[in-house]
Amino acid sequence: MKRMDLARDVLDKQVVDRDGTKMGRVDGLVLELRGDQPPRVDSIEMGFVVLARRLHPRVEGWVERLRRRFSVRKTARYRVPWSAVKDVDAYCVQLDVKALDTPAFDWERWLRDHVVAHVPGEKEEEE
Amino acid sequence: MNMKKAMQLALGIVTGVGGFFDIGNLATSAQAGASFRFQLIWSLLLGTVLVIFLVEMSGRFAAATRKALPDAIREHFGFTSWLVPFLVLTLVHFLVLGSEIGGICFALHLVTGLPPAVWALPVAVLLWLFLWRSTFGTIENSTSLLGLLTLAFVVAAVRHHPPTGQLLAGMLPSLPHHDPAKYWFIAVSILGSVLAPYLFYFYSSGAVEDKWDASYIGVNRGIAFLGMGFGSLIALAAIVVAAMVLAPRGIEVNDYHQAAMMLTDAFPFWGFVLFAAAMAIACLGAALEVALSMSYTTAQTFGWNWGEDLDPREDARFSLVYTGAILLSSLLILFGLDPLKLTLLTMAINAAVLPFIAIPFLLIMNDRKLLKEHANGWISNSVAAFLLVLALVLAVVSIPLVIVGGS
Amino acid sequence: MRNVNSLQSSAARPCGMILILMAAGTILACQHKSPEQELLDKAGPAGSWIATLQMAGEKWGANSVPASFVKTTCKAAGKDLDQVAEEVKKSKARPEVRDPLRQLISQAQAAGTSLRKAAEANDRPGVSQQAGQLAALRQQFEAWKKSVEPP
Repeated sequence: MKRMDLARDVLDKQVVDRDGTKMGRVDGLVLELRGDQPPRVDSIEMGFVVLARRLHPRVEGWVERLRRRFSVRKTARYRVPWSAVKDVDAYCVQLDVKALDTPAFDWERWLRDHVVAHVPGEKEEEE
Repeated sequence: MNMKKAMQLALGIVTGVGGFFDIGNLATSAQAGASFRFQLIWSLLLGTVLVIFLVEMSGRFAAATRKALPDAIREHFGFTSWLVPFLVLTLVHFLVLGSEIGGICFALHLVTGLPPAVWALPVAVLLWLFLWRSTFGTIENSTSLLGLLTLAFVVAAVRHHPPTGQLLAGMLPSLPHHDPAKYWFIAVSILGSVLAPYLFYFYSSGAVEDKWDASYIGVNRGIAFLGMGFGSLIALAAIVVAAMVLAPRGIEVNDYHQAAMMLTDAFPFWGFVLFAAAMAIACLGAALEVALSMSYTTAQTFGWNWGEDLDPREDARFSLVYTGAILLSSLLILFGLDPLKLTLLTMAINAAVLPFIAIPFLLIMNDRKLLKEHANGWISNSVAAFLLVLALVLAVVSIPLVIVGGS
Repeated sequence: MRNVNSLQSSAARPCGMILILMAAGTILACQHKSPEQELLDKAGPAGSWIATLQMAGEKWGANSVPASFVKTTCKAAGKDLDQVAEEVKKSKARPEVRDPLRQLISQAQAAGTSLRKAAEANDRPGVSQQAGQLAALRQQFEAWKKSVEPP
């Protein structure tokens, strides 16, 4: 059995998808309390609103309002059940998803299609 | 040591020489030499010793953990602890980038006679294009090779035959004979320019980009020591040249025009163009580094995909951070802020925010669970403790010194 | 279900302390000086600019710097000299200290303008004459400084 410190080593860890694309960080952890049994990690959460809540509920309110007004993201929190976690190692939490298909990449996708795609010029080839 | 490591070491030293010397070093060295001749060399030496240790730690961290600092600090200390250092770092990046852009614009102003503000947008576009189109390796190699042009200061310093006794005496701290406020202001600015907070965070990201592993720890030590050492030699040379050329004429540097003729005594024909070229190149290299550093820090803080070798389509957010940073900080120059005043204010802020930046860094260097046998030993930790005390003193004195000694 | 994302180790953050000390330092730094002493501090940049203009003229004569540099240096100097002149006007220093400086600065402003015009017109003797004039002003300025500085 592998032991982990939830707060030190899982919370705030880099999240990657099944191809290793970096898709965010573990911004929040949701535990399930189960009566007399020890609590169980239910899911991980990602998103600016989750981060804002960690600072202060009021900051969460501001960020939520900004998000409703401007964000291209449809869901405030991207919640992934722990069952979708493929692996946790020293570097990252790997999820069994494809980053581009998740809300975590809403902004990335939008910026790529609406901004980067309109910029002429491509990266030089690696020598 | 195999061929590849030897190349890395050589390249690292060249990068150190080229990458160390930037607008902050140029401005503070010229001021120090012009106003106090050799008397402030001690401040440069002190900063150099500290920055060698800090850069060594940062590279060692990246080599041992294969993680960059912002990445690891957020992971282990948590978002709320990292937020303040992150915001401070963002502010510092923004101001330093503005100063470097100001330096390039001023160099172009020297050659063309057009006001620096005219050059702000063209320079911003040039910087952006460079980052958008090239890989990390190309940027690192081309700017550091061109950066060797700054060795012109060393040649000039040797040609002036500075008095050895006074030079050596300057290596020990002493009290000023005149303008104490200005003296301490420049001393603090020199420390702020050498201990640029972005530098060691950037260095760790660079090491990750270059795919360092634990076998690079020896190479890293060499790069930190020789690269930073040689880099600071150029800053020292600039102090000497200013002391030999500007001080005897009674010229103090309150405007970059007053530094621009520094090299014309040693190189009567080429000196003026050399100065402009060295200034432009030093600032160009630094501006690219700082803009990238801003992207690294932001992307790592939020876990976005990052890497200068990726196509912007694969890391849109990473690429747009440096795009926005370059554009915003070039506005500082476009709106006519004096490049030297901006640089000096930035150096003082660099010094003032050092504790916020250094504390999490030095704490994580002692995380044995993470670094295992590569965690800081007692030597590094003694230096770290000294740095912390110094950083706290700087945080307290630097802003008041801007007010009394700044102009 | 409950959130545990408030669990985290906290690094030391002595922000408040630093801010308080910064403020204290600022207040301590603003001490009062005599009007003469203040004038001496304010006049510093003028001496440095006079020396800069002299050097620019000489270097132009030696073909070390382009005329455009002399022009922009003269402009930058003019702007700063105007500022010093304003400060001198406002100064409450004794007239026997203040008036010679006032005259010196207006002469320097005139010399800067002539230097710029001479360099623009590619007038070598004119530039060298202005450089000489600036050298003389520089000596007068040093003498003025000595007369004000407490022994």
